[in-house]
Amino acid sequence: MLFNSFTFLIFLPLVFILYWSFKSHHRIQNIILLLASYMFYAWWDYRFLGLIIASTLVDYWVGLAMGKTESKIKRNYLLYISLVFNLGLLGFFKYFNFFIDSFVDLSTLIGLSANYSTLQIILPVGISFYTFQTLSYTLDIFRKDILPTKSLLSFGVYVAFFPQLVAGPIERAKTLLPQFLKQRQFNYNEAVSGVKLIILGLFKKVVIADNCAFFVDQIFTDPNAFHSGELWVGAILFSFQIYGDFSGYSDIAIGTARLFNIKLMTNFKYPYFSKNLADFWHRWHISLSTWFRDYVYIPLGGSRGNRLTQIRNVIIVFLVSGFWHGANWTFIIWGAIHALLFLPLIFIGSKYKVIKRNRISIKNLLQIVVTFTIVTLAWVFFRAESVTDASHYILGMFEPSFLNIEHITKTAKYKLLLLICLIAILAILMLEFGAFKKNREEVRLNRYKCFALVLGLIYLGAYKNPSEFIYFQF
Amino acid sequence: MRRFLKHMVLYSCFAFLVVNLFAFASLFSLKKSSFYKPSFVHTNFQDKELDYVILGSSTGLTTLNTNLIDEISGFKGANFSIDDTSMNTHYLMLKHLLAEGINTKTIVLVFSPNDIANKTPSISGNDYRFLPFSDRSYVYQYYSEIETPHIKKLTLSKYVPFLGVGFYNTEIVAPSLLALFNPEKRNRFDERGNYVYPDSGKSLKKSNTNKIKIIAKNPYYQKIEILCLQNNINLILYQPPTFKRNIKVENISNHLINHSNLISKTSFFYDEIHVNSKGRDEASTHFSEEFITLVNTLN
Repeated sequence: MLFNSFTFLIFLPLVFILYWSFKSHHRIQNIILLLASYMFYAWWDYRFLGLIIASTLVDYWVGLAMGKTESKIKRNYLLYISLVFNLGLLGFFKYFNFFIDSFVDLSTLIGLSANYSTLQIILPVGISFYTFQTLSYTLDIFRKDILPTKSLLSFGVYVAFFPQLVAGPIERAKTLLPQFLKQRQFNYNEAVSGVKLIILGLFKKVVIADNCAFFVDQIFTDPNAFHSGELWVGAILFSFQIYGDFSGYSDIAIGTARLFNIKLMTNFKYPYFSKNLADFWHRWHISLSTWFRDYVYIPLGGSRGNRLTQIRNVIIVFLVSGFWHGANWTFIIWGAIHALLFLPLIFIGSKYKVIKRNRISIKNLLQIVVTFTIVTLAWVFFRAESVTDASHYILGMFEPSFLNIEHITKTAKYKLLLLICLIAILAILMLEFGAFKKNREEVRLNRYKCFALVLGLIYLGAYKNPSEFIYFQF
Repeated sequence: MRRFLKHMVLYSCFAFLVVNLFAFASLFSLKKSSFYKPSFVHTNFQDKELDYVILGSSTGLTTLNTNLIDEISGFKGANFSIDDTSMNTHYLMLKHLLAEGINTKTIVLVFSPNDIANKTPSISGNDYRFLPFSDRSYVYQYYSEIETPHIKKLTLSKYVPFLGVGFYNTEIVAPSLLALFNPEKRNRFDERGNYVYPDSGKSLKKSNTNKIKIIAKNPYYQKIEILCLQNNINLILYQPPTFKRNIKVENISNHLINHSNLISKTSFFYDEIHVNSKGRDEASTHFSEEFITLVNTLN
């Protein structure tokens, strides 16, 4: 079920009313949330519901068993069970064909003949998200950061909670699970802020991301047919498409959760106002970057140790992060680019500077523009079908004919859509800039801004050719 | 909770009202403009008595130039073809013309092989252009008949205009705003409804001529036929030039002018099924000659 679908428009109010009809029975509320979450997922493909249930049962059992023993060996074994199961699921459904293809390519490269066939595997939506979420539960118990829960029902809701099930934020058991274990009271202010966040998220998705997709899809399909200026426009529009798509999804997820008085973590904090790459990764897909920080980077040694160890750790984290996004070399290269451009920050030490006040000066503005340009160039690898395509695209961006944008303005419709993209992007940037300057966690909307967004949503949204959320494929 | 629900209902109602008012204003502005053909017929087309009318999709729009045909034949005609449409839309346009009091002796129905053979017609890409007239019974009936049962956006627009206007927002809102400042502006057609494709610069390559045989099965073709009979209008079918295709149509009871194999020069084509200005002149000239003979026979 998609957030931007008519079905969800019916589904959400029904679940909301049913949920709050049992406000003094939190177990019944959990049952409602669990069934609603399974229904939400099954709407896409009921066959893969079994994977979520299996993942829930395995980690619930591992958690309980781990909580009962102090033996390090046993705890290690239990952790391996969880790791093998969850990463095994991920490996099979997401990476099996990639490894086979890469192995065949490598064999051919060194002169051996290898002939393995790949399988027709459908990637279950959200598998990368819920496996990481359940893994964090087991890892936290292993590290004795949390105690295992005895409530299978609450744990089931923690794994499958529908607002964040298929594209995050990837929540930690430490913050989300306790919310399902206690009584929830309806909170008017939370619910109102939730509705506002849903409107903002829908605007980002339907107006920004889906309108940008119109140009991005055409330009990235055949970049050779476009001038260099148009390739820049395509790359910039993709930067906003992916931002509108993914942060829009997170906003809707967080807003929806608030309707049930459940708090989810902030996942995006004005990433395109970042002053350097470290700052960017503190603002972009925060739930994933903190996951990698806590469960990969810090266990590897983090910023402790000598420079070489630090460099190794940064490179590993970015490569793994790239690989998490998809089974394609383009994502690994994307991760590698971020790693390489992040490394200088280790040497100059600015990585650790916490930006407390978001003052805007000429210098800051310049840093923001440079960071955005770097991020945009790296997104080309993220979006392209292959590394070769991405390389050609980047090379094309630096050819002459920069000012020629005839293909993307060829008809009145193209001009209009380009104008809509521009207006919508500016509107969101202005809203975010206000919140960024005041160092707020999120954009605050008054009723007038809300109405303006609703009007924009209806009369500027791309409804004829809606596209799925990009992060569903991860 | 009660306060929240009360506020949600209140704000939703207010938003519902505002977006519908906006949609209504948009459609009103469009209705009073000449931007799309249905509105042009309603607002700015003054000739109520015509000798012939051309109905079709992009091929009809860009193949037959009524200015040239009128010059050769001495008849008076107009082109009410709309691009990206099919037989069902031509039927709706004919109903619209009749409702607007436009009388014609002959309808020239320009068809494409796939369209006339289509047993299960569906909504066309530009059917939204009739939205300003969705309060009229024939438009409402057409929408309710042709739209799939998922969410009948166009059908329901009679009561909730924001559904159709929101869905086709770029195609309706922007032109309606433009129409406020320039109500005479037409969307790519002249004062008689004609439009021409430029030279594409592409050369078409195909060695052999394909022979294609099709059977007319489209139910809207029959509906057009009946409507013409009821209103004492002659119906002539026209197959426009195609690049290296020889099309034969079966199961038709009307006169047919078949130009599928008329032009072979690649420089006369925009693409394989559309001619450019040279091709349009060639086709219109040949059409005029055959049309005069046919009209004389019919009379």
